[in-house]
Amino acid sequence: MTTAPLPVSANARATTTRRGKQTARRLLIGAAWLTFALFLLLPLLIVLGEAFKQGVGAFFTAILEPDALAALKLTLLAVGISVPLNLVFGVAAAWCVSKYEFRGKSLLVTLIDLPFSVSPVIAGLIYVLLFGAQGYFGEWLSDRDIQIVFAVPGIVLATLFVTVPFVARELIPLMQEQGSTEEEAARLLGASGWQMFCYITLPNIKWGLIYGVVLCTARAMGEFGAVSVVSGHIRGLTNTLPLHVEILYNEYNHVAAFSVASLLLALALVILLLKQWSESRIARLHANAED
Amino acid sequence: MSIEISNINKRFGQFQALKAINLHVQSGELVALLGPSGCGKTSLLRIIAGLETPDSGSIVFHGEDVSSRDVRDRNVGFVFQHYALFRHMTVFDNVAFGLRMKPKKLRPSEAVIAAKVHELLNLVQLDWLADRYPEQLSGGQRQRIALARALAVEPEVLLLYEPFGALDAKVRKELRRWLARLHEDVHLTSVFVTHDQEEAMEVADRIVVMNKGVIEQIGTPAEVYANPASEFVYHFLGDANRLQLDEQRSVLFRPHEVSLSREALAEHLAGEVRDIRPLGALTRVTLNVAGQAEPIEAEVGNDHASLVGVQRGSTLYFQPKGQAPRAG
Repeated sequence: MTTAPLPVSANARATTTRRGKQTARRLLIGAAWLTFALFLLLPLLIVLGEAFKQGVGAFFTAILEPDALAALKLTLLAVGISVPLNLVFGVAAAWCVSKYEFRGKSLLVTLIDLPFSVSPVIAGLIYVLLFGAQGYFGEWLSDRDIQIVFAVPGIVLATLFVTVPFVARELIPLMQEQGSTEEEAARLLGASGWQMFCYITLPNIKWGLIYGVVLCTARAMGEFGAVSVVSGHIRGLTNTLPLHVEILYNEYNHVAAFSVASLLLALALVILLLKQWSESRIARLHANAED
Repeated sequence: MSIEISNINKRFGQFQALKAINLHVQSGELVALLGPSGCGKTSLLRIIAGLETPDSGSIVFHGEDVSSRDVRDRNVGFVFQHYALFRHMTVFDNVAFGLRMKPKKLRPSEAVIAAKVHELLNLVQLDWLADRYPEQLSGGQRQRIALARALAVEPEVLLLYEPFGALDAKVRKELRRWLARLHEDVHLTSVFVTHDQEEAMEVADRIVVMNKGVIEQIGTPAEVYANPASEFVYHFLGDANRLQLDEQRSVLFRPHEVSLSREALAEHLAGEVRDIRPLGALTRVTLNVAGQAEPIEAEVGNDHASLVGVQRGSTLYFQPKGQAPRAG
């Protein structure tokens, strides 16, 4: 007799809960979009708006100016040197960590992470302390007419330092999860070390590797702190794009600053597209496999 | 191709995985390394393959010492527990891999490779799966592809690591018989590792029972079952009952080696029925016996006279059949 009303109230409660859940869902999604628009999209639009405030002509004048082009060239050079080196180092380090057991392994992993935890400014200072005129190797270097700090090598070194973890960090968990039985199988089937790496290891880590390289490139292009310390801000010689933007901004040359910033932004978008593409490739590969 | 394993020792840090292992595998034989986990069977198999280096001792293939030879030059086929198929390659490319990796001078043409791959896929009855990727295959299919891949390089020795371990019971049984038949056809010297005594009994020509890094016994399935060299072997090869006779002596016997009766026959002991389980053709009766904590299990045919009207709490009389008492 008392059981009759029970289903009704239970039903009503279920409906209320469902409605409650939907509201919560909408609220959360709305909040996510709002945050995204306010903190990411709006600044981007402002950068572009400021850059084109005085028309397309002013924009192109700013980015085609020799100092801006030199900064672009230097940025690309730093990326071009640091990314391949980190690629090789990252794969080698991930290989060691995931396939071998050795003493000091956890120390190595911690060291790989060091650039994440050390402030880039400190990283820059370390290089000044080591290779600067008053630094440990300063005399030795100046005797041989080698300039590292306040020159291109210093910028490359600083960029290298801050981008070390990206490839290795991306690969280590991936390679650990995959284990080494496929490599062992390849060896048993007669593959040489090099064949095993090219035909088995590389295809298995390909997308993780691309992803790591993309992140590494983005960071190398955008690095400010470490590079700022070792650069010396010599216009046309040791300015990278981010440093050039800062100089222009400090000179109240807003249009030029935002124009160069949007150039950096365009490069970032290309990188983002590459990342998106590599991810969709992974998805398509899986979809094909499931047909 | 015979395999001669002499005096192999292997340590991992403080743990002695293998102690002075000696084993001779005859040409064309199918040998099972059987034992609980941690007994050293895995290390031994990996040492034969060359994936692990022993601390001392030698491995000789057909009179030739291969101890210092690299994995890739040993010419062994190896099937991993989880098959280790190359996930980014089709079944065809997986099987073709070993042939394609040969040095240029020895490498067959693509046409010859294709013919060989299809021949092997036919052998394992999976030719229709050539274009699939490993993740699209069932466990049993993967296992057979892994076998075809291992056979492609025409190995002289085939090593299988828990070849049926990752499969469900029914598929496992089918594949077990299939592998035994295949072995009869290709007649390759084969060694496989298993922790499942039933599997070893059903497939192997000889069984090597291992425990704690040493070989406890080597023999045909019938030999090790009928004449176990130690209590460990006896226990490992099947269910066992222990009946305490007095303080010093007890008798070991298998559940089917029991005479069971409703009447108190001569030299039969009384037991209280604790559980009755029909297991297909047999029924297992668990008995509590006065004077020992360990229960006694008896397996008799479903139509056995002693089962009529028996229920939990009834009393049955039993006697171990033809077992000599053992000390301990």
